[in-house]
Amino acid sequence: MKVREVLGDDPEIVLADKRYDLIHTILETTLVRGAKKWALSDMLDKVFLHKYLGIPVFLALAWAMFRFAFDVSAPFMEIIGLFFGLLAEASRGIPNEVLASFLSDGIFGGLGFILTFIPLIFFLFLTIAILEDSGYLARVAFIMDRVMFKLGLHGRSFIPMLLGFGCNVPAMMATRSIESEKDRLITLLVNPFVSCSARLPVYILIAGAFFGSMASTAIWSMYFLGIVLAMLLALLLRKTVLRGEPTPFIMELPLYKAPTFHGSVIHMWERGVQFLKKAGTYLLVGAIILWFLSSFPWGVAQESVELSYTGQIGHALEPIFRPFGFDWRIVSSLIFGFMAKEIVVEALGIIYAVEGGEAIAGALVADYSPLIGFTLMAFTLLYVPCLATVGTMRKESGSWKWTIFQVVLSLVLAYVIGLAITGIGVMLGYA
Amino acid sequence: MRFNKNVGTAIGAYSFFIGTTYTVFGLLEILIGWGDFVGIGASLIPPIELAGINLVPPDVFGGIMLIIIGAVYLIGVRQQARGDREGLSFLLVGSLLAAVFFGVFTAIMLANGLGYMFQFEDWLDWTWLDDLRPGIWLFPLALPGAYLALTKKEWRE
Repeated sequence: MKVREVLGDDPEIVLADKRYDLIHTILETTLVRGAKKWALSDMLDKVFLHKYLGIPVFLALAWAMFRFAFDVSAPFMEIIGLFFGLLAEASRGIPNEVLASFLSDGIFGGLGFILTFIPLIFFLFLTIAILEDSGYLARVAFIMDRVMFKLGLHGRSFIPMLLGFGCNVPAMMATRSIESEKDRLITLLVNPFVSCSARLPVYILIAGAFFGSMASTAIWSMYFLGIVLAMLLALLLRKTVLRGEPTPFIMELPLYKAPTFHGSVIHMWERGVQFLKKAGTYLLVGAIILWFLSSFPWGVAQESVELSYTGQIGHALEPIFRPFGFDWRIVSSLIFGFMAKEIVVEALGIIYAVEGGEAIAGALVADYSPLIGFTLMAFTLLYVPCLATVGTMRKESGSWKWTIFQVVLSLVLAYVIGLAITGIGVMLGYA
Repeated sequence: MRFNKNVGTAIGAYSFFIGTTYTVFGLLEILIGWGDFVGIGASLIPPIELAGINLVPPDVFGGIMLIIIGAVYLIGVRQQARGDREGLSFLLVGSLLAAVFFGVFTAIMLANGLGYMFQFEDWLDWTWLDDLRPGIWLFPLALPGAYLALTKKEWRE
């Protein structure tokens, strides 16, 4: 604060000004100017940083990224799904009924189903790595800064927001580079609304089941919804509880370069392997708990999952979600999804006791309308972030007050947006 | 910095042609896909076929993306016609975007081919013509522009 008072401006701006003054002075005495060359980076920046074209071009590239990841991974997901289907089928033959159910429904049906999303997650990370390695993502931060500044966010907030597409936990840690406490807190509060890769399996399942050829667009719309809501919330927070102006954003843009196959694959692997680690820990524990709650009391639960502990929990909370058309199955899945969002899909697999994406998708289509499916996607995007994210929020904000505020805010927002989607859908005749 | 005005006019005309073509086919994708998109079923215009091959898929968002590519080309036309070298940027990035979408749609076609090869249930009725779309067959038009923008270094000096 003192440095700012002495300098009369943001220290970063003063430093940057001084640095460029020095460069200018040195160049004036040493450089003999020739005709200025119009370099390739200048040519690309002319359009990528264009006042009107910059954002549409970014949205087009983002759409291409999702279309590529979603459609190209489909046959590979099928192969993994068939593999786990065979394992589940084989394990049903085990004489011990409990063990057979545990392996076929809990491990191969639940956890195995989640693992079918590996190709999709790796392809998505590959496209992000290519954009990052090319130098384009830094430009996206730059073009988004104009919008973000107007909405009360700091330009540096865009990097954590981008990281949030992978996982909100490292994204929230990345907010440490934001100096202003208010800027940082706003970024922390809105970051969980950026759609992380854990939500992707839910989108894929629901969108694939209900929206056919429009599936990738439906998924893209969730990412778009998350970004828009995050920005609007930032604006709201800036105008209310965290009043003030965001500090200016200064960054030096790197030159463009052609991404290498080797480099992009390494980046993809570094991020993708986090999902594999999660599958071996959180998701495995989740699958075991879910299987237990859905299979016991033993004997009764085998007649109908509705009579299991999972069914009882779902039924108890179902009235709250009745306006959206969610029944006990969806409600139970959402509750378990608090551990990790992928568990929503795992839970649906275990509750329906069917193997493979197609079987689960078929069961969903039989029980729910596309409107309910879309509302479920939006609800999954917005309702309480996962356990790890809540823990990170507490650690990074250093406050239980803001952590609880974030959880309550996300629940309220999920409910309001869910009601809005349902209401608009019913009005348009999609019920 | 400027280059030969005749060359500029030719480049401008070329960009105008490609930009308009991408925009028109983008609009067609939207019009054909609009019925499905809003749930009324029927498309606003009949399908466009050539020798029984459906040339334009019903895809509202795919159409919007083609319009964005078209807009990049079209916005650079005036500068190119004036002989302003900065106009070449739009030609280059337009072609780059066209190449990205060509790559994505071709990769999707290959992946679907893999599904068909393994005879997975969802791919039993697939043919490669199902994935042939303007993003693929318009791309050759964009190639000369990208080639010129990248190789004619004298235009950038």
